[in-house]
Amino acid sequence: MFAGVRRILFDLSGTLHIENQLLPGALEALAEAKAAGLAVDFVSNTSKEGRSDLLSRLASLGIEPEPGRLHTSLSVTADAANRLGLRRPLLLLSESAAADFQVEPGGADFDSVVVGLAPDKLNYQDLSRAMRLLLDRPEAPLLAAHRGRYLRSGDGLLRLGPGPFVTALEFACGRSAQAFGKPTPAFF
Amino acid sequence: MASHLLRSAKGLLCDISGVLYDPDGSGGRLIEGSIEAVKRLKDARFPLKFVTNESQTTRAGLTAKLQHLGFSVTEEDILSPVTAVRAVLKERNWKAHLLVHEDCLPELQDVAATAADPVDCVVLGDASDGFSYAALNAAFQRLMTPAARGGGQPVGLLSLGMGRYYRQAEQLHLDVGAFARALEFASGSTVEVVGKPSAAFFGAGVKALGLDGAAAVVMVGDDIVSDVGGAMAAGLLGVQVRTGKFRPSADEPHPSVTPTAYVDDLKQLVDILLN
Repeated sequence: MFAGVRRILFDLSGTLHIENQLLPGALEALAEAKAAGLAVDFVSNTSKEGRSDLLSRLASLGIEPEPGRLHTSLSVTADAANRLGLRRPLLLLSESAAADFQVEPGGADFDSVVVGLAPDKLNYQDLSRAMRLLLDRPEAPLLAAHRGRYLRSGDGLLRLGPGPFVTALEFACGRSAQAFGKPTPAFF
Repeated sequence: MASHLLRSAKGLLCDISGVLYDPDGSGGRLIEGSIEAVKRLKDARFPLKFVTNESQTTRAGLTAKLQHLGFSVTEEDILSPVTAVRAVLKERNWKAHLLVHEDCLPELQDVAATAADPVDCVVLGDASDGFSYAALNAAFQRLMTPAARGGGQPVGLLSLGMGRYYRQAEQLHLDVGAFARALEFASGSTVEVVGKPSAAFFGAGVKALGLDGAAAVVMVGDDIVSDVGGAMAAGLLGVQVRTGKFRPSADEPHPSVTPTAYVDDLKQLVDILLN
C-alpha cells in the first residue's frame, strides 16, 4: 500500500509533540523516514505562533525542518492574502502570528479580516469591530487560518479553537469565511 | 391589502429596543412619536404587550428605564426572556451555568449553579464584554461534561434570543445569537431559543394579550429576521419599522422575509391600527 510513497507529511501538535514535550518515538520516526530516503515535510494548523517562534520551539525539541518544508495554516493564509492583494488586514491574531503578515500602515482603513487562535483578540470589543468592518464592506474577505473547534492543551483541559469565532462572525454578518489549513484540500 | 389586515388587527406585540427607544449605554434615546403612540394604544384599551430580548437588565430595571423616558408602562406589560427562562428552569428543576449580563443575575439567582455544582444547562444572554474568551471557554467546557440530572443526558444550551447584532450608541454590536452559534459549532450541541424568534415565545405573547388567534395579532420590530420573520413564522402579522437597527440596503427588500408592511416608525403603525 505504501510502496510508491516518496514524501511524508508529519503533523506537529499532537503527533510529534504537545507544547514543549516531544512525544515518544517522534525523533526516531523522523530519523527512519530520512534514512529511507523519503522527503519530509511538516504541516500544522497552529495559528497561535508565527513561523519564527514555531521554528525556535521545534529546534529546542530537536526537530529541524529543511527550508521551505514547514507549512502552517498561517503561512498558507498569509500567501492567500498576498495573492488576493490584501494590504491592510484586520488581524485577530497573536503578536507572534501577526508577524507572518505584511501590513501596510493605513490607520483604520482595513480591507479584510483574518482570524486565528488568539485568546487576547477574541474578545467582545475586537470581534464586534471586525463584524462592523465586514458589514460596512461586503467586499472585504473574512479569512480563517482554520476552523478548528477545540484543542486539548498541555494541562488536559479543552480550549476553544478559532473555528467557533469564525462561525460567530459568519452568522452575524450573513456570509462565509474562506478557511485555509487542514482539512482543506488546497492545504494538502 | 396590508392596511386592511392591519386595520382589523386585535392586538399588538411591540419590540422595545429600536421601536420605543435606542439604547446608548446609559438612559437611552427616545424615538420620536413613540410615547404618544403607546399612550394612544393604552387610552383606546388596545391589547398591548412589549416583547423584548433585552437581557442586559431585569424586567424591573427595564420598566424603570422606560418610565424614566416618559412611557406609561408597568412590569406586567413586558414579556422578557429572562423571566421566561427562569420559569422554564424551575419547571424542569434544572440548575444553570449562566453566561449573561451581570445586571440580570438578581432575577436568576435561584436557578444559578455555583462553580462547583454540576449543571443541567448553559444559559447565554446578552453578556456584552462578558463574552470573553475565558468565559466562553468555561461555558464550552460545561457543555462537554455530563449533565447533573444523569442518565447520560447532555448539558443543554439555552439562548435568550438569536439576534445577530444590535445597535447601541450609534454602532452595531455582536448579539447573543452569534455566540450561541459559536458554542453549537464547538460542542455539537443544538441551541434551544428562549425569546424571539422562538414560536413558543410569540405564542405566549398572543396568549398574554388574552387573544387566541395569532393571525389577528401584529408584531412590530426593528430586527427583520428575529422580530418580523420569527413572528410571521408563528402565524402573526409582521411589521418592520425603519428605526433602530433597520438597514435600508439589506432589509428593504430582504432576501428571505417579506413583512406584512414596512412603516417609518411606531407612530405611523398606530395611526393605521386605530383608524
